[in-house]
Amino acid sequence: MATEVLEAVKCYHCGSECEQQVLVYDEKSFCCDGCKSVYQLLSENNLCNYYDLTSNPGKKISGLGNRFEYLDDEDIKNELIAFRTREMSKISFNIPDMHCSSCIYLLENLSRINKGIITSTVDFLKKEIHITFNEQIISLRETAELLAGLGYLPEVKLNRAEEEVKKKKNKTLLYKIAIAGFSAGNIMLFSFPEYLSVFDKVDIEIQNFLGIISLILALPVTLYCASDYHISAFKAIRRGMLNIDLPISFGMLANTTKSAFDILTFTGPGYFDSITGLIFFLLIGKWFQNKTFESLSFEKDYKYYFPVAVTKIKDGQEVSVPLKNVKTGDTLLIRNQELIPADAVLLNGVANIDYSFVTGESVPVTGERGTKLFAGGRQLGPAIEVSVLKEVAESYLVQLWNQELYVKKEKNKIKRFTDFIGKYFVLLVLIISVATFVYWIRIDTNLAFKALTSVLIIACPCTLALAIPFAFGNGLRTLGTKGMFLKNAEVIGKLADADTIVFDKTGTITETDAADIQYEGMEMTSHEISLLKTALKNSTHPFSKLIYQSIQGAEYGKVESYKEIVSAGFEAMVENNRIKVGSATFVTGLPSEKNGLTSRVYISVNDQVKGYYSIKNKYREGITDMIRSLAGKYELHLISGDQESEKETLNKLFDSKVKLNFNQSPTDKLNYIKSLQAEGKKVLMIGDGLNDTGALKQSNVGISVTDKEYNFFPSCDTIIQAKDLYKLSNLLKYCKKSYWVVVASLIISLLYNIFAIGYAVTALLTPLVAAILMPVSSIAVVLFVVGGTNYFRNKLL
Amino acid sequence: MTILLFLIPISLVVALCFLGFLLVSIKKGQFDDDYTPSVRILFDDEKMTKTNKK
Amino acid sequence: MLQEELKNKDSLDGYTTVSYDNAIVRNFSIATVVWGIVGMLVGLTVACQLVWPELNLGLEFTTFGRIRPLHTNAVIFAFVGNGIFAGVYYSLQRLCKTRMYSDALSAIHFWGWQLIIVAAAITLPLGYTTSKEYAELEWPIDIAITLIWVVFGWNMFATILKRKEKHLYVAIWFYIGTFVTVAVLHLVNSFELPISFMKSYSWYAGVQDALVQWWYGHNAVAFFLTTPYLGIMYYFVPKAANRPVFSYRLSIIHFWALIFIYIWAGPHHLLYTSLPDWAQSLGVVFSVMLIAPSWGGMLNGLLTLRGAWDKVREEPVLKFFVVAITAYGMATFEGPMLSLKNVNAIAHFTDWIVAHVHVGGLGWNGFLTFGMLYWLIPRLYNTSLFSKKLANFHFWIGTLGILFYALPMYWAGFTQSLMWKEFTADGFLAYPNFLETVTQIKTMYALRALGGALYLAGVIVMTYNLILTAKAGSLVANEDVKVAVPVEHASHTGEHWHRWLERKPTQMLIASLVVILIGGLVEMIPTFLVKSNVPTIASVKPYTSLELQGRDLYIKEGCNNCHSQMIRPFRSETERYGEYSKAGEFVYDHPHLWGSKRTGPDLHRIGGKYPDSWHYNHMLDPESMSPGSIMPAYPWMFKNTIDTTNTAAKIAAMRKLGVPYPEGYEAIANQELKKQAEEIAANLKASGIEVKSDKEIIALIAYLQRLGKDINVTQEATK
Repeated sequence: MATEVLEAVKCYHCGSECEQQVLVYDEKSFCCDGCKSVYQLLSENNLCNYYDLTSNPGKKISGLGNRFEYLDDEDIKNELIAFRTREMSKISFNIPDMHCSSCIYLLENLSRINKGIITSTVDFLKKEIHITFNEQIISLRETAELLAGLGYLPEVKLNRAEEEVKKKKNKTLLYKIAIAGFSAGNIMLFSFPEYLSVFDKVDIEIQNFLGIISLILALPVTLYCASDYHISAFKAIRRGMLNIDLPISFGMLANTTKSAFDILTFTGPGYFDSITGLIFFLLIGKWFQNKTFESLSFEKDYKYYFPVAVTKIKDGQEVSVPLKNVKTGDTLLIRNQELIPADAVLLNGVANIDYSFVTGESVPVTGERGTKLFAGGRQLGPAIEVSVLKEVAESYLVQLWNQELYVKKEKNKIKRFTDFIGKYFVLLVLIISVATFVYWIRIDTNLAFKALTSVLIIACPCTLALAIPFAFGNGLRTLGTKGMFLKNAEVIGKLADADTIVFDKTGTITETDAADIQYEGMEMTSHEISLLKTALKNSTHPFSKLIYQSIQGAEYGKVESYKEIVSAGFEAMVENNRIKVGSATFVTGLPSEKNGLTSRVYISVNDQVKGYYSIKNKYREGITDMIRSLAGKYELHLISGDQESEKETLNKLFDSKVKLNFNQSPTDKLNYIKSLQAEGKKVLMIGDGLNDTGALKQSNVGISVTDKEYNFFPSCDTIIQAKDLYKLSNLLKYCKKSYWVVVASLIISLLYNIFAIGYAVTALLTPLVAAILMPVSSIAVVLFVVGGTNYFRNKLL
Repeated sequence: MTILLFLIPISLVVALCFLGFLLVSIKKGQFDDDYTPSVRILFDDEKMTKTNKK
Repeated sequence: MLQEELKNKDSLDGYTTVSYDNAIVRNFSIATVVWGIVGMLVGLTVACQLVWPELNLGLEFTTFGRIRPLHTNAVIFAFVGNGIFAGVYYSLQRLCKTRMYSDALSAIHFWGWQLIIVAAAITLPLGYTTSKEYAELEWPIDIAITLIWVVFGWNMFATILKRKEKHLYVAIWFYIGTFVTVAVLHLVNSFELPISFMKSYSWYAGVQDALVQWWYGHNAVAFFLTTPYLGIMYYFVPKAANRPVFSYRLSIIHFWALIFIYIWAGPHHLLYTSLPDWAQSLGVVFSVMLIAPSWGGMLNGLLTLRGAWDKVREEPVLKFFVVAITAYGMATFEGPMLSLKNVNAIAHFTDWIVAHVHVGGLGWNGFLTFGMLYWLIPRLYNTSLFSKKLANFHFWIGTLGILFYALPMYWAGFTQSLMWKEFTADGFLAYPNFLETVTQIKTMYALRALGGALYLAGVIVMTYNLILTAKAGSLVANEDVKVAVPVEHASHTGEHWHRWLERKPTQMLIASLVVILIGGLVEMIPTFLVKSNVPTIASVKPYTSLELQGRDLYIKEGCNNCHSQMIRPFRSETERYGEYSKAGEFVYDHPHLWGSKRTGPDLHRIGGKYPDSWHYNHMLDPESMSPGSIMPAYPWMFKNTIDTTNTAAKIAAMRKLGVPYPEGYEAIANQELKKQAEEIAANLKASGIEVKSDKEIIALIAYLQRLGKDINVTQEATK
């Protein structure tokens, strides 16, 4: 195969520019063997259509292919494989890299590449692939590797079962909506003559006939589609309580019975049209609500963060075992970039652990044999062997996570309000309706029944029931588009409530990886820079990476020798030049003068000290303005895991009122929040990383900041994308406003109810009118809240 | 207009028939993915005649 | 079953071959073109006859009244019908990744359908007709249609069942919708009581018959001319443009919305008739609601081509599609507008409606078919289109044809309607003589014929182009392709694959049970319908045997194609024709003869308006009575004698349908007939006309003179 150097040749497969080399194969150039081999594979199976559908559809094959051994483990298979027989198994993967019609084409033609694959179906929008394969021919692991090999790195998803349950629930709702909509539509159609009241004697039989059809159509709606309301009402009664579903359900049933009675006795057309319509609207409201939550999955537990399986060393052999089977005393092999699943002690190798997920600090902790390593750390550099001290479930991190005290008990206003409605309003309605009935029964049975149903129908507080999901559902969506993802609608209420904001420093107001890097010292020649860059390339230390990224210049081919001294630095030979990079002590020999502000990395070339790179944390964009704008309205606190290095800067940033606290352990943070709450403050905690989990959970509402959406979240109420953090004050304002919109709408519907009931008790109001008025009012309220929230969105965001 | 006693049930039965189809196909997940199929139909089947395996 | 499929698969390293049946598609395509030309030729002929009536060559078999139904049937069921089947058979196989379930069924379907068409082409000119619009074919053919339709459905559903692709593409839904609804519509509407081979009476009478007829008529348009073509659009437009449909979600909603709304919109064809108000308003509401899904579909179709306009510029196939979809949009907007009562008051009975349907027919159905054929034939013959130039020529001349057709018709419609409704200052009709309003628009008729001619010319060019294309290539009768073996059609909700296979048939069973149930209803209900036909107007009496024979001649000659029998409650109509029509007057009309177009004046109150001699001369030579009339002469009615052999049978049938003929009337029916015939003959003799009393003309005159008189009987009696 020819290898020549041209400039700016596009890779036929992935379209990226071929920098170092160009591999040519059937007159097509490729940037790397990965791309080329994929092409070969496809052309052999004449799937080259792949390249005709869209040009350069491929994805560069990433060097570090994840290891899929664990997919050979029976337990894992059983957990992952949805359905299994001897010659057929079904598996689903997430394929984030799926991006064009070519992808669909290729992924759905896997069976051409390996006949073990029976079918593969893609869901493009969900970026999922569903594969049916024959385990006699191809194993689960091979399947995953096949995908990875094609440049579609599959993401294994556990907890399928839960997802299925969710899907099922959504579907049931869809059925209900379909049925309710269908019946409502047809019943309205059949009530048409009634609306026009154009029946003459000849058509009376048709009227009755239509009535009966309506009845038949309506029963499934009031009984099945509205079942949730009946059930919840029934439960409430059994618990000797009242909830807002009670009058809804009671009203519906009363309404249904009355209508059915009218129709069967040919005394009237009934008013199924409006009741079915109402149920239809209620269900739509529910659906709207669910849709908005689906987008993000919360309450992830550590399983999402940890690998599915780890490599265990069993009498010399490397075997992959599922995480839950890891026992105390097991020896595990932790490779570069792999996680430490359980608290363990280092057996051999050099630990260079990045605890940024746990502590939020990007500076890795190094250690030799015997050092205790905590679950959640990520090993950087050569593989290490560790011996497990505690089982995963007992490890510090997980403990922290599952601690009882994290479970919130307090309720927010909305909840209280609806409960209030549930108790008193509902009780009131029932009392009034009964009273009305009793009053009228002495005068006229028919009238009494009329009044009763009217009261129940018109008063049933579904306007109240609707206002909240619609307003907050809408708010939820809006915030989502603005980079703030709420766990559920109620969080809006909590956010609106909060009066105190507590910030975590690292990763919250500072960026986790990006940092300010300055070089101080004597000029370096481009040659020296190249040497340095080459040397740095080999170090996995984050500082090395940062510096490497920060300096421009060519690189030389290879490093002759490289040795890393733990917690000091490294020494490398490049083109016969000794490059030393590391702490002052290591490079200059002099003791490093303690300067908390920034960390320094010294450089020497051939033992000539050149100078140092000072690396200091970088604050997120617009953070200053954000904090200023918040300062007025909220009481601000800062709690940080690291030492007081940047007190000055922080003081400048926050105004003096802010209490700054350093060297806070997770538990300290937690207690700090507690103490604030003890003072009766509603605390809004903004943090990231696991170490804040306790605090986040303890706080009345916890916001976790994330750089990437697919990043791992501790269980918090809200996730905000780092790049949108600066909007925080506006977002909070928006929450307050939409909260008030809801309250306003609730007041409106209360007033409506008062007047309506007042009118209904006089029995002047026919149930038909009542039944028409109710959905109208509901719709009015819905429009009001949605309109209101949208108004504030446009105004604030 | 007794004919309506005849036409309405029939129309309704037809409509119900389709409601049934709708529910079943929701159940079957026919509408779970409302994008990919529209792309899928664009791929022409591979003709047997021009199979040039290397 | 799966087992050997898997074995099969291994032998083919991961593949099963599927061989698509292209021959059947080719056959249907040819049929489409052939019948298209025939149907349009007939259309052109009838169009010309409206300008030059003598073009019927003095033959009864080529007279407007008889071949106008031939035109409609040919273009709808032969041209579009075969077009549908071509499209379905091609796309269904590919969407299901499997061959049609049974070649035998396919063949039966194909030849059966052609046979039906031939039968129609023979019987209609011979005057065998039920007079029900778009359902004129007599009962034996109706049965044949039912059978063949079942064959089609069987073949289609079986194919869907054995499909190798889990998802049912939206096009298939449209096909299913078409099959089910058309089946039901046809069954319900063709419910008739045979009295002899090739003669039957509708079970329903008057208003009820009219309602059924237009419930059918409207839905025939909806589910024969629209839904299947939407399915075809959703398959062929994306294929031809090689880009996915604009919004697949929208297309799904489009289907379900159409299905649930369309079925109710029928009554808008009967606005201002004797149909109850609320039923009319209902029709209006639903027709208006229909705009939403229809336009959803249209935009979805057009937007599919967004960003591909460059392609459209040089690809004739896409050009045809664009115009077709636009025409669909226009027609589906105009339809609901026409169903608004005040618009309908103007448009109904005029050429506006003719224009409306032809925008749909020529634009939507025609052009979509042409586009499809231009795309299909080269693929079937594994070659490329013989000449894009000619295709483009076809496109332009076709478009021109549509314009030349539609615009004059709209113009004619407005003009005539306005003239009908115009009053002088003194409150008299400005044009009391109906003929004036006709002669006024004769030129428009001529132009329309020109438009038709252009359109037909285009089709002939296409035929030539396609023939040469086919010659250039060779038919790939069976297209062998590789497809992956299906394992489960179940959604990935972890459902067991074969459970699905078990369940789907049960669904089908349920569906078929429902159809059977409908059949049951069809048999039971009419019996009690008959009871409900109690006359609401006491003075309305059944037709005498002679009048009944006359009425059947009226039907045979297709008079209802040009003359309505429904006077709407407008001053302009009551002034012109007399008292407006009441529902009660039609209770003995099996079938109703309300008509839908007034090329000639309404005849509901013609009875007693003119002397018998006038009718005699008018039928012999219309020009003699009304110079410039475009009505053809009916000389044969003066030669042919009335067929009295079936009189008794007809009376019996009518009684069976609830018409209260006195007991034993059958026996004396023919004497009665003769008696009345003699009277008329004598009457004519008095005005110097010698005619044997057994000629058809006598019966016709008898019927015409009876029309619409019953409600006046009382007055006459008193004087």
